[in-house]
Amino acid sequence: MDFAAALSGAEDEAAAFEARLQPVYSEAIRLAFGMLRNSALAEDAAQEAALRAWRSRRNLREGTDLRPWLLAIVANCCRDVRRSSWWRLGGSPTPEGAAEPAAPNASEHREEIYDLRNALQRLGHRDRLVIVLRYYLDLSHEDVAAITGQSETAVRARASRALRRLRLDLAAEDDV
Amino acid sequence: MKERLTPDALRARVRAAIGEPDLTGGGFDLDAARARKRRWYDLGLGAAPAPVRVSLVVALAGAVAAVLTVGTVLQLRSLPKPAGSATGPAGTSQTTPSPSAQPTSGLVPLGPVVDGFVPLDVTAVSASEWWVLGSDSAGCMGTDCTRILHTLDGGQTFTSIPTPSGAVTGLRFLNPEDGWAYGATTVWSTHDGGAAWNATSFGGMTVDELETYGAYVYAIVEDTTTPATWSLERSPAASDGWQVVSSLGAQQPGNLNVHGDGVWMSQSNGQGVNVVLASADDGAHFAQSSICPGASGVASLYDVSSEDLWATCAMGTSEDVLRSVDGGATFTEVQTSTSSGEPDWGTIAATSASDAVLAGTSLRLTVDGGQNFQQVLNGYDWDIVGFTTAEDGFAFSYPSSSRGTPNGLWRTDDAGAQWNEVQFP
Repeated sequence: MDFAAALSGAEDEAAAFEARLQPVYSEAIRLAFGMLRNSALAEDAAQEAALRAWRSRRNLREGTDLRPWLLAIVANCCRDVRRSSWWRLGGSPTPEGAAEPAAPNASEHREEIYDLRNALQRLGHRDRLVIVLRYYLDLSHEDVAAITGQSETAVRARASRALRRLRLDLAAEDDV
Repeated sequence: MKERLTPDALRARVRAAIGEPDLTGGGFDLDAARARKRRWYDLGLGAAPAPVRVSLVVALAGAVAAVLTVGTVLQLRSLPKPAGSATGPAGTSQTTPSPSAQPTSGLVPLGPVVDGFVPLDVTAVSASEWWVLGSDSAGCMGTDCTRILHTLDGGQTFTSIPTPSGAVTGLRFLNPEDGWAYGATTVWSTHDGGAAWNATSFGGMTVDELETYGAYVYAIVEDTTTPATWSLERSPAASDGWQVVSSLGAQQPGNLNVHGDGVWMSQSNGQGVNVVLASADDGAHFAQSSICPGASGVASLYDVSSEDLWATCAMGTSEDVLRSVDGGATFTEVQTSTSSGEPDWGTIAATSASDAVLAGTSLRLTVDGGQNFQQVLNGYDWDIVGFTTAEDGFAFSYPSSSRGTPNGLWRTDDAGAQWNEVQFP
């Protein structure tokens, strides 16, 4: 989908922008939540990203796809939040409780999931971003590469390193 | 937790660990999002101070002029020039004589970024969103060469935004919408992210410096009639309404800093008497404190918070580094006449009361309140711009042999320990 071309030809540019954004907006909020683990901040970050996208709409190159572009801006907004003096000085909200584990044998892994939650928060921005995009939003390596501006090979390598840092491993060798 | 998981099990575990957001709003609404953006900036995410200090402002004014004027040789880092009678700030409020606001005609249109972009000023509202004022190339002359580049991804990509048609020498953005470009006698404001610029003139008076923080934008304005006098003016950030908030007398002020309700400047009589003017009420009233006795001027002044400030004194052949922990009421030397061969025009910017970067013939980092400085980069002359966050900051490099126009914009994302040159298209 060529976002820039779709907007430029629209009679009501704002309405067209909103319409194009809606299908990916919930994904933007989920990405922000995965990075920040606070619903209110996640909504703010997604809104801020959408506003930045709106302001930059006329500077888009032809052929730009909205989804990776918006999610990349969301990731930057989340990075800004975690780097803000407000966050660093203790303003970061208490992470919201996660839902009950979804796996069939989840109850056996409650403690592991709690550890994983904390370990995710300790990951660096880029590692956490790849994990959230790949395993929380369930995006392909190609999509993650488009959002992070890396090659697919680099994304696989980073995901592998991040998983090792999380002390997780995959049975499927070809997944990362 | 070392174990072998299937991809599906891994996804399930990550999702369980993160959970799902508890959403209160519906889909995206552009108008509602604009209204809510204030909360974002209330977190300090948009009002981050990214001040360019006086030495750089003077440098940039000279640098732009150097670009625009063939064969003109300019002093890059002018220290406060000698002034006449010593008149302190009166602290009075009055309506500015004749600032006039008018829509700018003939915006330099948005266009492609050409090869050889020369950065001259930078302003940022976050680690990822910043604007760079510059010229299309060192050989390009005239106001048509001036360009403002905008990045949303921390400098990975840039787009060009409309630029006021005039000799722009400085640029500040308070948030993604509200920004100001300024030149010799004009301030251009935008409240839509640079799509449109409105010009305000000050009755022929000169705009020396401009800084923004919170709800206001401040400018040091010089009445160049003999004898020259200076005043501090300000305008609400969200609209254009400049008013004089304080008369500063006949000694040239510089090093404008704004943080919260605090406003700081330095003044020098050019004969070794230097003071810091500190206001805790948005510039309405100033208290004076002595600084840099015997120095030819205050080379730089930088606020970290309302209490913590750093300064450098121009000692002729070297410089002293000072700190204040009481909002500028008193300054203590932490490094006397740095013996490392640093020049006396070095500038300083800090991320905390203990961590600062000193720029001169090298970039030097201290993490112990200025007791020790470790060189982190050399090879050029340097001017530290400032920090947008506790980690993200900018510096300009200049050719050591002929300091005229910067030859590079450098960025750190680890509070000054490592620097990378920003690559322009």
